[in-house]
Amino acid sequence: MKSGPTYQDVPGGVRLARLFAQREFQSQALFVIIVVVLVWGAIQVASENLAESSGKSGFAFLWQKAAFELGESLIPYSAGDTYFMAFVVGVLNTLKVAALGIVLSTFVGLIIALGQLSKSVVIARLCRGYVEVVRNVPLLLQLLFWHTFLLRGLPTVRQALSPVEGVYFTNRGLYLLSPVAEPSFWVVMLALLGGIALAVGLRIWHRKTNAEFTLWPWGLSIAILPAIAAIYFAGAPISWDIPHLSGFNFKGGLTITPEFTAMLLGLSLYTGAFNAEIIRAGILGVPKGQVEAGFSLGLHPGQVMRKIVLPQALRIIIPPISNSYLNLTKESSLGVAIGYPEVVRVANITLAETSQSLECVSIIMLIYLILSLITSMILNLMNARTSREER
Amino acid sequence: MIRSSIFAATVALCMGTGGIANAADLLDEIQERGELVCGTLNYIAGVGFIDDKGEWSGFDVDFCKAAGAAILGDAKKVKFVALTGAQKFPALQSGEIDILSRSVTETISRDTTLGFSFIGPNHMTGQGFMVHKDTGVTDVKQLDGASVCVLAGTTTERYLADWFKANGMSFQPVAAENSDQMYSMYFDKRCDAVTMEPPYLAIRRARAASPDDHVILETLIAKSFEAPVIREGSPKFFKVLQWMHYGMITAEELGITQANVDEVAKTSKDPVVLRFLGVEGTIGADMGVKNDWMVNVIKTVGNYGEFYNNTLGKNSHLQVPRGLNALWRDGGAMVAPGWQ
Repeated sequence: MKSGPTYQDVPGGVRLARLFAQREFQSQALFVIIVVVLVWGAIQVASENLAESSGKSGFAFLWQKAAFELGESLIPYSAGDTYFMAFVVGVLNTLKVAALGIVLSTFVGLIIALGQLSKSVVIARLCRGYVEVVRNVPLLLQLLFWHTFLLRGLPTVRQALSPVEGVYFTNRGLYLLSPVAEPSFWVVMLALLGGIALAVGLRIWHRKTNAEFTLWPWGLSIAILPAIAAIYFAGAPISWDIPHLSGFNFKGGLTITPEFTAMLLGLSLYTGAFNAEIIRAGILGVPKGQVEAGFSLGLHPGQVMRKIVLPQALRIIIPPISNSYLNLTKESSLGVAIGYPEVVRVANITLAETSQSLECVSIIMLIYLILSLITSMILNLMNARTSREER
Repeated sequence: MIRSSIFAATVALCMGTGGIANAADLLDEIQERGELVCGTLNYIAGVGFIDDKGEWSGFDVDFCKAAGAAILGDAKKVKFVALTGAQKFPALQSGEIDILSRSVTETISRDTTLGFSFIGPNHMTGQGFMVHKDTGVTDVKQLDGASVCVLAGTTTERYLADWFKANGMSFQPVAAENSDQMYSMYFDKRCDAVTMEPPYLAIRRARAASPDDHVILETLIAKSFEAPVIREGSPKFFKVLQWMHYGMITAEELGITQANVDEVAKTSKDPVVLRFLGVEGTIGADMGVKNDWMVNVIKTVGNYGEFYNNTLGKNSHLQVPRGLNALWRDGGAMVAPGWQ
């Protein structure tokens, strides 16, 4: 079939010239130029004014020593480390509360959503009430409520509540025993890995010979036996670090501060209410015929929900719930109000110490931007996997 | 046609907003403007407070009223701006306010790296601790391992870490966003001790459910000399404020008070007093203010003793003793060079 010269046949220079001649392109290019000029102008003005007013700017302060302590940290940190390290501690604390909050808020959302769809009127009304109350009270108030509740509601360190040995509830935090690796830890781990490898190997070999080799009891025993032997000969792999009252506070073990608990509760319960609505919408979005088909196959309600409804609902749920996760991450910045040492708190105190306000604020903005982009990238990947090819 | 005008507007916008006019001395600018803008705080009665009628009062506020009286001849021509701890320095640097009078602790790094000039210091105190009596603590050295409540983003947070480090001791910081939250956490025993300047600790202890359950430790871990602060680069403005501070001290030395200042100006035969009040000589006029500027200042807030006692001291509800803030001749640290 004969046709005129296609777009690709035209030489590059001519193509470019044609592009420039288009009105569409001209207006777009002009828009880009205006944006660039505005941004450049703003940066120029800001840096000029900064140079005039304070004399120093830039990020060199990040390598100076920070003279403040932060309440809790996932990595070793103390006053005298650099501001950069302080920011790392802040980011890790933000990530800690955001990651756990995302998981917990999803569970809360799922339970409340299923509750709302329950046949029991009482449960459905209760869950509906939860959503209406929790999502309509500002998050900041909820955080302050939980923080005050934990401080006032729990006993002081000296009157710690101890349900079992090694666990203490106080208004300075929850103290738990924590595992500590003993010298034999790695021996036992090695033995366990060896056992698992042996069991997997045997299973593959048996499959080739078509012999019966079930996971229970043979596979499991072969996997675990070497480890048990190692414990018998080398001693227990872990010991428990039990918190004990020493001086003013409990020492040893694991500490979960009331600030962190308040943050986690507040964020999870608040975002959970939004997630419940998203999940409910997702479940209701699955055509009724699917459920009926499931029942007619003889599946019981739990199976229908798990095997038919939820996998399809996931397609509808993921895009809006990514938004909700992004909000949770950003809202963790409210932790500054109750003294949780997340990244905004670190930036505020750094700002007070160094007076490099523009730098500190831009660091926070950059960090939240990166966190949000990473979260949305992961959820976009999940979305791509779960979304159905439209026919 | 439209396009080029957009571009021109953009360029004009960039040029127009560029730079703060920095040529004139702020003193002239304020007099021309007829208004002095003062950054302060609005929630601690006795220090910086705005009441339900919109009246500003307190030590930090009164300094600005005095400055308004000195420069513009009228304390009512002062506009107050309430600032949070994090806003205070950017507000001053950007030119939003003329004076920052907000219990700012003077330190070498703030003075030398931020482009600021400190006046005074006009309030000398230090950093101390209040502890629960049942902890049995009587000395700061016994605080090893304690949880300490501290106000986020203040010099107290830094001095606290510095002092524990220097003494090889450890502590658990419990940071609070504002002082109400900090004291409420302390009273709930979230922390064993709370750190702040002792006058403020005393205010809170007095308001506690049972004041006897709390001990303010005697030892101070740092000095905290608070001073009003302005941007560098206005020598005339700086000199007026600095000598206004000295003037209030001089007035106390000379026995001139809010009540008797007019009388003294009329009847005194002492050349020092006459020069000080601007009846003789041209000291005030040479500085760029009215010759009787100190009369206006004293009429507005009184001499330094009255200024202190009416806001923080014995005439106020706070009852903070003068301590270091007494005159040098009474064993304090408030001094002023001669008025010659």
